[in-house]
Amino acid sequence: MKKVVLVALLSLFTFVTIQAQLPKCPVQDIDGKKVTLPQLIGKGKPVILSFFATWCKPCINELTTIADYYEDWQEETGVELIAVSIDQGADVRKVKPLVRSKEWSYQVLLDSNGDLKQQLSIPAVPTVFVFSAEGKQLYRHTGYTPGSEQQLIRIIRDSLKSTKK
Amino acid sequence: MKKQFFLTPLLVGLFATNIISPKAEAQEEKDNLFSYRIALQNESHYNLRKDNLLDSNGKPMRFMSNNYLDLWLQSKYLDAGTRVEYMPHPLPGLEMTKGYGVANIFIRGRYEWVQLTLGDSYDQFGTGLLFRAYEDRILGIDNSLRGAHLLLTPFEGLQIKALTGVQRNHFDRPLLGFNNKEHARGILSGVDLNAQFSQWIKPLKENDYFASLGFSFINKSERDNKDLKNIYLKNEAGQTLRLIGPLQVQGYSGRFLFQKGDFELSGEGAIKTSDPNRNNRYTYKNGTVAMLMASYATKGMSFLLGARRAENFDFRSDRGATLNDVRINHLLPFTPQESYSLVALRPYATQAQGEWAFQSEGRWSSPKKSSFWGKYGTQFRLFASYITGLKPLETNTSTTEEEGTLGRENAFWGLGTKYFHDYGVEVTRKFTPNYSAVLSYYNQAYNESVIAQHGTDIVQSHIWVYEGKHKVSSNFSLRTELQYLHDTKTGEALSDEQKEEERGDWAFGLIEIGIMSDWIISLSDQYNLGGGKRHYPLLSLAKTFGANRVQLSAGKTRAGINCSGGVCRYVPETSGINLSVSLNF
Repeated sequence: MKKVVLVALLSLFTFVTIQAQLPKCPVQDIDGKKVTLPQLIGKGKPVILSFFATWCKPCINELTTIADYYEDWQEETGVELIAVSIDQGADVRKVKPLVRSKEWSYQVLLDSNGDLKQQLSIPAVPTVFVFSAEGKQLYRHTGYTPGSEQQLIRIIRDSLKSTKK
Repeated sequence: MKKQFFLTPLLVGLFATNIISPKAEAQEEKDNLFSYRIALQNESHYNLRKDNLLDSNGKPMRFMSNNYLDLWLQSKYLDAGTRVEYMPHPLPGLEMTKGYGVANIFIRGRYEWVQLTLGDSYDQFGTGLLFRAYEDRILGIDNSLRGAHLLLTPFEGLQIKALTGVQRNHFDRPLLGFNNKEHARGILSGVDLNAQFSQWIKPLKENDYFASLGFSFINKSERDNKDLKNIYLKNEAGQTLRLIGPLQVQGYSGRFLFQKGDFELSGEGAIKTSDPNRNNRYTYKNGTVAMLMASYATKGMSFLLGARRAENFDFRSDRGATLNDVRINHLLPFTPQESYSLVALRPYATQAQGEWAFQSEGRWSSPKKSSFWGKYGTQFRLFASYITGLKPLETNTSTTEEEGTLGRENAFWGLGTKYFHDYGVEVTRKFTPNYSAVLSYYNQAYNESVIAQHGTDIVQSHIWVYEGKHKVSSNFSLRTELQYLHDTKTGEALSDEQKEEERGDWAFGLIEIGIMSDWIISLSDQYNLGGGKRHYPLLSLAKTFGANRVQLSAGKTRAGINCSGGVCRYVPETSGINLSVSLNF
């Protein structure tokens, strides 16, 4: 009886989760395919979600620096990086030329309407999120300084160690 | 016994309403729950000067701030949200945002392929040439649409939007009201259709062709407001006649996007019917805008070319609106967005009344592990943008005589007065794993009288920028910037007034230290050595606490135009302390 009461009370407390849900609005990737964040995050691989713009120099620094480590990071942890461009209007057409010329192998999404930016309250770019393989938000950070990308892989490594336990 | 009777129906009820389902998969469990998100943003300024930012009594205003609190509730089928704003004493340059209250409120229902929002919504048609409702806090813009917004995605590749409502204009209406009672603005209604038809045509889909077409329509219904600045014409009997604007104004637009392999071609065009307003000097002709862009992007290289022509395309919910109030559409500047401070000293503002704009950009990444290009390669970016006015077919009509007429006729293809150009090159190279640098050169021309609406020159500048990034250790990083702007009109050629207005050469230096990826300390100075000889030093400290961020800075910022996305606002000179807080729960 006491166990039933306990389970019921605990279940009631899960009514409101502290973990905010991912926005469900669909956005296009640079190949024109429509995707939503819940389709890409929490699918068994840790995810780095990086918001950038073609005119944002620290954003390009961050994504270029990560590109040097990306293959190694993927081999070690299976991490996927999803880059979301907040470029507006005709600037959206500059995203693919930038991505291809830099030879980034990330999945790139176009948030030209600012839906994700608004729903995730992003005041400025670059803003980066780290999600665990189960989709839990582990980290969020605005701004980039050389070397701060190492924090991202540290967090992913820690989360994988704790799930193995 | 009693406990069991109480609990069993409660548990059954909770399971029945699907609020909790302990045996569900992790994903479904999340979908059955409500979740919330809270975000708080504060931007404050404390004025330290006695002779600046004076109120109506001539006393300096001290503490000014803009505060935003967002709350969202999300679940599988239903979302709701609100934003409360509090700015009784707004930041310098954001005086139009003065007020406080509920700025945004909405409820959204989602089922299968239908989504309906009641309340305030943001959206755009295509690239926003015809309709764009968005929020930009730096500029004090929030032209959300209060009414209803319907989104339908019945099958893959097709998207239909329908919306109707009244735009927000700061705090000029009651809490849940639609419109200002004394001076009602127009009601907007529109539909948009986007079809990725390459999805439906098997040979196209299988051969990786991507093609989409879009069409939009918008209608503004704005009644006559007798308090509008009126155009008085005399009729034959010598009686004064007053302008009554058309009740309905329609806008139509079409767009296409075509991609195959490394090539892409896109275009968008729009037309607006007769819409006499303050910005087009109450003239009656139609407005048009057309844009075409093409690009080629492959591994390590890309090239982009674009052109856009706009004529009489300032579109507002209130025909007497000024500044950035109640804009219906959004024409971004057809120029590269610059972020280095001296390069962004004179930014371009879109001249929706008439402009021809061209831009191009080429990028190339050299091979890596080369003795000439370096172990990590060298990256190049070349860009150019060129903007002129339209070429009028008659040159002898004065602008005041245009009121109440069709307006000046312009050639479609002809190029008129030079407005702006910005071209240059940017070279990036990583020398060692711990040091990389960017060296750039920009050449700019800026038509003062057209863009800033004062002065008579076309300001010509050469700008050189060096930026170095050093990873000092795993916990420390250093970033340095050196910029120099050379104004071709210098020394003796500049009048005292021009020197006061900060023409002439400028220099800029910045040092930024990053500690443990949580702290950023920076010190910078902007110096107008060729003009008023004023320094603008700034010391800033930023700290990240998890998902939250605080930035404190002190110093002087120059008066100028702060632009974002082609719309600009004037920011007065400030001397004081600035605080910026961003909290996320």
